[in-house]
Amino acid sequence: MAMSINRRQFSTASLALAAAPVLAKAGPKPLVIWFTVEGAKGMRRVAERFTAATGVPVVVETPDDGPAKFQQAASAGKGPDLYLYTHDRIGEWVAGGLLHAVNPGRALREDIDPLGWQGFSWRSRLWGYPLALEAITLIYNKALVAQAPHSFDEVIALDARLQPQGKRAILWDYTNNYFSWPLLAANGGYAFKRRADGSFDARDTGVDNSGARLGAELIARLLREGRMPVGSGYAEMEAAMAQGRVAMMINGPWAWVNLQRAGIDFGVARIPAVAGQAAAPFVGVKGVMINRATRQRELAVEFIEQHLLTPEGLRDIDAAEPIGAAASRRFYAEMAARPELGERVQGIMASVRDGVPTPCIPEMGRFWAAMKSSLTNLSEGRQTPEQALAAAARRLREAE
Amino acid sequence: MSRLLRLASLALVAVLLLLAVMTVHASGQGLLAAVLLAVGALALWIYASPRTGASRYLLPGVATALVFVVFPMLYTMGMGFTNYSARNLVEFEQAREQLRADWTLVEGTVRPFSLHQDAGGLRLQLGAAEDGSGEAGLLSAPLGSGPELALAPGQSGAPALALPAQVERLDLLRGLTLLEPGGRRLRLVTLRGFGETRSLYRTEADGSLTDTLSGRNYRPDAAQGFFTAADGEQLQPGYRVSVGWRHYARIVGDERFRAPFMSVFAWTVVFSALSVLLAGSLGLLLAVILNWEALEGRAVYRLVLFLPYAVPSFISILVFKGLFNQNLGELNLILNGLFGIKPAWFSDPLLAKTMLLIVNVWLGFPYMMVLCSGLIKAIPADLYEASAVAGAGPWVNFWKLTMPLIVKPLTPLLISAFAFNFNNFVLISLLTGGRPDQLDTSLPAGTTDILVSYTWRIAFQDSGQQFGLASAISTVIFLIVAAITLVQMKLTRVADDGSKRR
Repeated sequence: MAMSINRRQFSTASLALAAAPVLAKAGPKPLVIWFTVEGAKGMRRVAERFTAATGVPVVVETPDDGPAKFQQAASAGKGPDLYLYTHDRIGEWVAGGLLHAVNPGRALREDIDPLGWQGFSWRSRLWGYPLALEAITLIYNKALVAQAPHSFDEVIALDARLQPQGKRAILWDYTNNYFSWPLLAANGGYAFKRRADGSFDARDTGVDNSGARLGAELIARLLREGRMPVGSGYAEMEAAMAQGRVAMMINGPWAWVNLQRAGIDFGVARIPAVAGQAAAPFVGVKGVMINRATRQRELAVEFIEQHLLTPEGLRDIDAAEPIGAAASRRFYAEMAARPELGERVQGIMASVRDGVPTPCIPEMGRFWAAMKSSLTNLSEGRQTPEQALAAAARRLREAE
Repeated sequence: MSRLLRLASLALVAVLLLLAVMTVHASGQGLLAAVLLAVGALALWIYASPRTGASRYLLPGVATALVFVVFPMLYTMGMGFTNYSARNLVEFEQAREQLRADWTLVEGTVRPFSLHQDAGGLRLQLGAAEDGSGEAGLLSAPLGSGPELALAPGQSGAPALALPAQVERLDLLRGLTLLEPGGRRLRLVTLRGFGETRSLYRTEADGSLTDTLSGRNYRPDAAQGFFTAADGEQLQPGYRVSVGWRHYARIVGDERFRAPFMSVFAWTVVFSALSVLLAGSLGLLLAVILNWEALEGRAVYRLVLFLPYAVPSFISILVFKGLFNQNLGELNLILNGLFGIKPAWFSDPLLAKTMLLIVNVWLGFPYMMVLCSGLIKAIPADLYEASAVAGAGPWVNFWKLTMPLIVKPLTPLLISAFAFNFNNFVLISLLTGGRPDQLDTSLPAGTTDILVSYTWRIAFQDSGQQFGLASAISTVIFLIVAAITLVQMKLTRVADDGSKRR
């Protein structure tokens, strides 16, 4: 009895294995796209138009932990034809041979913001089509601040004014370098030096230069003077902002939803200047990349150039999940003209204009890790700003 | 008749097995196909042969152990000798093929095209080039006269085919080369256009690649896994090669690597030992108390105390992370209210370690408690009666009766709990992430990092995925755990023998 069950199970399993490739061959081969869960609804509408025009079906999938899965699948010659992600992984993926270089048509090349193309250019070629530009901004509660402050001196003055009411001016997840970096970069701090040919020198870091120190000392001062609580993180910031206890935070557009839910009337503006210089956030360029393993490169390009990156396509995507500031200048103009929302999108774009694209080399992992521990140590007073930054710099320079 | 049926079904299973192996092999998983074939053939022989006897019952267990324990272990060890990483992800053939097939578009040469079915056959009609060079309208010779088609000035009279019809002929179009009257050779570059392309690399007779523009020569470097120029410039993508003991040499020889290793290793041992000791003692204590007959409602206590084990640990760890939060956490709210202190659980190394132990003991004691209860239950009650007659109290009972009788069956379980905590990645990564970091290391190492989480940081958080290095460190950790376990087993056996001799 046990034997026959064993045998039957075994043959069922082998049947399923044997049948898989036969089934896959039937019908026209669909174009497979990996996209975000929310945005997929909009992508499916774009896909319908593509299918109507070309007769090629489209499958939109929304895997979680996308980057790891994409790397795994693409290196085995599988995975989606098109993949949407931020540009900062392309250095790693190009090195692994996972992406096709792209040759955008002239009209599209002129429509997309140069900063977008800058993000996706690596080793003197382009590796993806920019969809949106992302940067963190100052988000302020209009009930507490009428006009967003332009500099941190104004922020400190505001804090002194708000304090008697039991409120504070600003709070952000300051041990997370993504949010604190704009202050360090304002006066010339940089992660890795960009060479003339566009590549990065992983040994030349500016995390401890005088500009970066200005930013770090500002953070230390805000903590020392009690303008921000020690040991606070993202959750504290979000709660304080939603309860109206803090007037401003440094955060991205993903935080808007919760503020709206809490009924806060908020504005979006540039991050206040540090010592007279504009704060410079890292800009993430979200874009569509073509898998090296695809057998439908022409169709993928057709989908992107003729259907996705048109104002009509972007409108559908944006309606399903707000994309922030569109890289397409035509569609950005349309977004910026909208009432209320347009003002916020302009705030993002203003912040983007102050920033630089995140370096796309894998060594950035080291940069984030080193800065995280430096900012944590600095905020807890275990190290002075100068010591903390010097430690980060040493980690970056001595690696390899 | 039944013999015939038997043979037929055997043949069917064999055919299906071969089909499955072929499918797996065809999808590029050679090693897996070989394992499948070996295990399948073995299974077939054992269940078909009348002489195999007991092996029929052993096979499922042995095969499972082979596939799920031995195979992954050997695979990991093997990977530790390669340079498999984000930069060296694909196989040599794949990398060479990619570089050979790579092309760039010559700016401005793209001409839009359409397909036209006229009396002479299917023709391509090309529009003006993007940069306006050459003739404005070109018509191709009819398709089907070979892969190269001459272009001549002209206009087709027939209407253009719709886009879906063009998509259907995509394979045909991809194979075409169009010759412009001026001599340019065009190929399909998008669904709507033909353009001039330039191959980036030319293959030489000796297998090296030459950059078609700069003329630089790149040779495959089997030691590094890259096509490399004379001055050391490397082409991307790289490919997987064997690097021998390089990763191990780095683990042992690299000062930056070794410096934090010892402190991380020490904390790993302390963490696992204290976790087992504290959780074990607490579990034993509770088990002894719950075994006290006079205690009312023991079943309820037991159930309540077992609950921590029933909650998935990744949920309770995250809950604890919230409870311990410095400014918002309930724990600090209470401590602040009672004593006016707000300990920095996540930033002070000693407090962070304490917190880890508290949480781990909370997660681990119910299991120990249930184990000990069972073991205590197995002790014959007349022993306690005899000791009561002799006038012994609970303290003597515990040390002279309970402890000696349960410690032997408990030891292997304590060792396995130790080995589990030695690799307790989930707790560390979810609660502290290894932080706070050590101050003076050049590789990021935390004061609460244990070996696995330290490995994970170096291999995956530092600069892209380094699977080869991670495998090598995993192998080292495996050897350390195996050695510790062996020593512990040896020691307990010595203790065993000693007690027997007495």
